[in-house]
Amino acid sequence: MLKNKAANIFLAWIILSMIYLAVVTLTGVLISNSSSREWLESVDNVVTIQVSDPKAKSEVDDDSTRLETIVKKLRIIAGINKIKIFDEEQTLGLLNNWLSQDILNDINLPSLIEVKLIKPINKEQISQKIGPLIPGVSIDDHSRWKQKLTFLIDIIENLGWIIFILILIVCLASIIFAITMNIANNSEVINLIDLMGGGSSFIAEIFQKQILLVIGPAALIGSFIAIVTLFILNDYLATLLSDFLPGSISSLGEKLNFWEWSFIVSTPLVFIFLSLITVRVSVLVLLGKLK
Amino acid sequence: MIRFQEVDVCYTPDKPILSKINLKIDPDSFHFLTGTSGAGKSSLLKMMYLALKPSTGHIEMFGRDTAKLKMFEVSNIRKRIGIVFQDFRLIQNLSIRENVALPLRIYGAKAKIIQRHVPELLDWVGLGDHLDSFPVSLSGGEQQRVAIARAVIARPSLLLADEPTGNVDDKIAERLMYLFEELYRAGTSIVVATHNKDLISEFDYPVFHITEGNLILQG
Repeated sequence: MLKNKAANIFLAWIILSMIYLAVVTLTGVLISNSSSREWLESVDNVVTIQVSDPKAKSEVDDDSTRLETIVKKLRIIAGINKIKIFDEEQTLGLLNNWLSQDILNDINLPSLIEVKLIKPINKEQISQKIGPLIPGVSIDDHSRWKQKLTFLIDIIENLGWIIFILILIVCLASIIFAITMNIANNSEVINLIDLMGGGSSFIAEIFQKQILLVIGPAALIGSFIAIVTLFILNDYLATLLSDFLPGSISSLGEKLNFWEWSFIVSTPLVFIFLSLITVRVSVLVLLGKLK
Repeated sequence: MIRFQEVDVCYTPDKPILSKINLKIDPDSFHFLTGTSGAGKSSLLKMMYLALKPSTGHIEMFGRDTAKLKMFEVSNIRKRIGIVFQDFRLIQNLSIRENVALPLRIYGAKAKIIQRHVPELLDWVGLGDHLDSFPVSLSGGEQQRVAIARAVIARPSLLLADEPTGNVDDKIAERLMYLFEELYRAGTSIVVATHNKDLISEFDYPVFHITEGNLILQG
């Protein structure tokens, strides 16, 4: 009934692109949230003990090395769940993505002991029990970098949400613009319907139906392409980042829970619903101004 | 049904196009509205379908003071009025069927009712074979009949026709008038604005004549 094919095609492309970006952004935010949460939880009760010169003779026990003495002491401390000693190869594995082989050859690598605690114990408690025995042992509960990382993750997530909301605002602004153009281009038909008793509400319904036919398929197609893109990217990122952030990338299906998936899938539907409200309000306001 | 009291219409200050109009249209009545070109026939009709507010005076439509109507009440009153425009005002990108169905859609009629009534009415105006044609493919007379079908499909209480025979030959004009008579007999009040004196003389109905801004009831 209302003529505006060119504007509608333009609107469809904008919505398709914007919903694509919105779904990608939203998924990125949710994955980032889920991954960081999971990762931080995994290191929450972990302290790393760094033992320099591990093979040297222990200062407190003639029959043992420095490393062995530390491990013995750790085994009798209450509240320790698991002790994992990194051998030289594993330690090198952690560093060889960040440092060149020449530098690695020159470094006198310390031994690393990862201690998993049953409950959070502060660094001082362990330092008090181990520190006096063996000099040159450093204990790190990762709190310093965890705090900074959490701050960084929060910034990235908030930025993601801002981008997501901005994209939706751009979509809704495009719809308002298209409605304004449609009203201007169809003023005669709108006037006729008004004279027949159609009123603003009936005219708004016509616009809603027409916009729904334009943005509905566009939003659904945009979301579908975004999800396909994310699955393809996921495989690629898993390969790319597995060396840098071991265990941080798993399949999308595992990474996101039911509610997060529901959120992503409902994005185009919620957007369509918001658009229809926007169309109705815009038409009523614009026609109200004309009368 | 319609009552005008001391109604003035001025498009420019101190130069009323209609002055001190007093008019009463009862239910089940048929009136002609005549006057020279530019006399104010269309303005009078516009006030009747609430597209023009009087500069002064009062208008009552279906027992309601039009000055006090809210927007949704204006729409409700308009739903009771069928309008045949001088220039037809058919929607060009809708088929004849869809054009005629529009008032029923505004009424919120069910699809079944629309599907049954529209072909019936188009048959009645002699356009049963043009259901899926578009206005551009019809002659002036045919478009006029579509406009009439659209105006009456929702069974309005009042039908306002602005120069409905202006674009058609005498034979079709006469046929259109018989269509209006049928509607009148079916209980619709009719106001036909025309300057076709032959047509008026052929049908014995009262005439509102506008001359120099004043309204005179003849016959």
